[in-house]
Amino acid sequence: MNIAVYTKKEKGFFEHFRADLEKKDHHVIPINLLSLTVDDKIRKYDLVILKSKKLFFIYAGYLAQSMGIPVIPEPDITHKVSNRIQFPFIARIAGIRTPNFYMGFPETIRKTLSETDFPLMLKGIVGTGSRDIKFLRSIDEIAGMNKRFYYLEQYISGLHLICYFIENDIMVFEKEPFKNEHFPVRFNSPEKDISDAVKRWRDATGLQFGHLDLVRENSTGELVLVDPGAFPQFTHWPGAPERIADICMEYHSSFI
Amino acid sequence: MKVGIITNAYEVPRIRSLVDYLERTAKVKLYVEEDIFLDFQGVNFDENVFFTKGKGYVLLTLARLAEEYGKPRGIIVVNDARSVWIAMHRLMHFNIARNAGVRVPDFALAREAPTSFDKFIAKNIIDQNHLRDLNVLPFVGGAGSKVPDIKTGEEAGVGSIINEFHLYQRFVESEYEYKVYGFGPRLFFYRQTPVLENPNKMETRVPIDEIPELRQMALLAMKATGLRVTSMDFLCENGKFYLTDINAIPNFNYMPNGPEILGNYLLDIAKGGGVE
Repeated sequence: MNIAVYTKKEKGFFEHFRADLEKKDHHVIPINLLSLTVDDKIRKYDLVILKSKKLFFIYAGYLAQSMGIPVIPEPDITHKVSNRIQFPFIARIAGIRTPNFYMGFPETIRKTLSETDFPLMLKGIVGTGSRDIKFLRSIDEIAGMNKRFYYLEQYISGLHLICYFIENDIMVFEKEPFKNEHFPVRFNSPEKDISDAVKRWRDATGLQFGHLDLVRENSTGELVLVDPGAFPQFTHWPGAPERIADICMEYHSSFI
Repeated sequence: MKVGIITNAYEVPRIRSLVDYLERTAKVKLYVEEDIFLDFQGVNFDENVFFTKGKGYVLLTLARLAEEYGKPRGIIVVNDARSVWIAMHRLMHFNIARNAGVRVPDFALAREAPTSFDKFIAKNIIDQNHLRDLNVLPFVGGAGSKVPDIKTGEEAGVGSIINEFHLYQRFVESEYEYKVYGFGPRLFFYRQTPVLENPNKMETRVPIDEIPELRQMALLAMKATGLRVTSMDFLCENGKFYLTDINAIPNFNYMPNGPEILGNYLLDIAKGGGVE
């Protein structure tokens, strides 16, 4: 079987994932931005895997899907989950709190926000891990930024958790705020409210695996979803690549 | 009766005629993107219908919220955020329209034009006003032509390699360009010299009788994309029509009585009708 994997990275998770699929006699073709063309030649693949949430890869997923090729994770959900102005709507359906956010053009933002509205998080509308995030303490920090518009998110003070899920299994880790999943983390056993939130998220999205970056708010103890993902690196979950490979193959079998 | 128009500063003069017409019978509230402070958890709407005229992310988020809050009351957003998003992402509207049975030219998203296209036209990947680099696009080329890099929208991510990508479309040789305006089920047909030959499109535009094949293609594309108000471009090569562009924010002022036709359509929806 010819399996196209749209991915930014060919190290770490992908190495194990590819090895497992190749052991089962499948031909795995990694596609990154350097090798990418999105056109009708995509029909030569039997299965398309969207390891990355890059828009151009999501386009490829939509195109493959329209040709009847199984795509996992589902492109529309990958798009919505990775977009900061889309995922709060899914979180609402799942009954998971998200931080409030504000959007506006520079002049309007400067006129409307006051010092008491800070701190806020400046983010891009499409997540790129922790790279695009800026912690803003005051309105002065906006001055001089050359942005067309701002997406500013309420800062939630609390314990930062990264929660991976594969089917019914969940792993939760504490992590440093504003760091991605590859930084040192500490294992934390999943509490009931986390397990319940993951189940509702899975029901709302149909995702069989993924991750939720959660913050347990200091002042309320509530869980707040700050960043979801459809296909994490599962850095701290031994055996995840092989399990995900099995899920992808099962999905392909169920599709045909 | 209350009508909300979600738009931007560039479009405000263009919707003046529509606002004037609507204000004869309804209250109109303008939400202008540059002036909007969007508070995700602090919005409230009491309009009976919304009209979206713009493609910016602040504006589309507001349109999405209006849809969410309006849903329990049966409030409709014309066009909703999803359909505008599809229209501005060219690969998406080509793919969706083709999948619905509408003929489109061969297309590709790539860093170089496909060798199978003897002649191509390169377009921006995401069609937003601030991304229209008219010094570069539209670019018509042949085998081996190199299209200069241009910026793509924030959604595509950052990095110089992103700017090397373009949306390539096989060039369709057509004597005329056909324009179909859609306001719900009402379609209006025009013909003009292709814009590449004469950029002043209104100079040669003439109304034409309905062409059944175009009608069918236009309605299929509208249904598939979810656009209720649109203008679509078609080219005709060797007797076959090709859909080459879908616009979510048509300039209805180009049509005689355009503001009235659109205004009546919106008011009809506001009264609970007009939903096909």
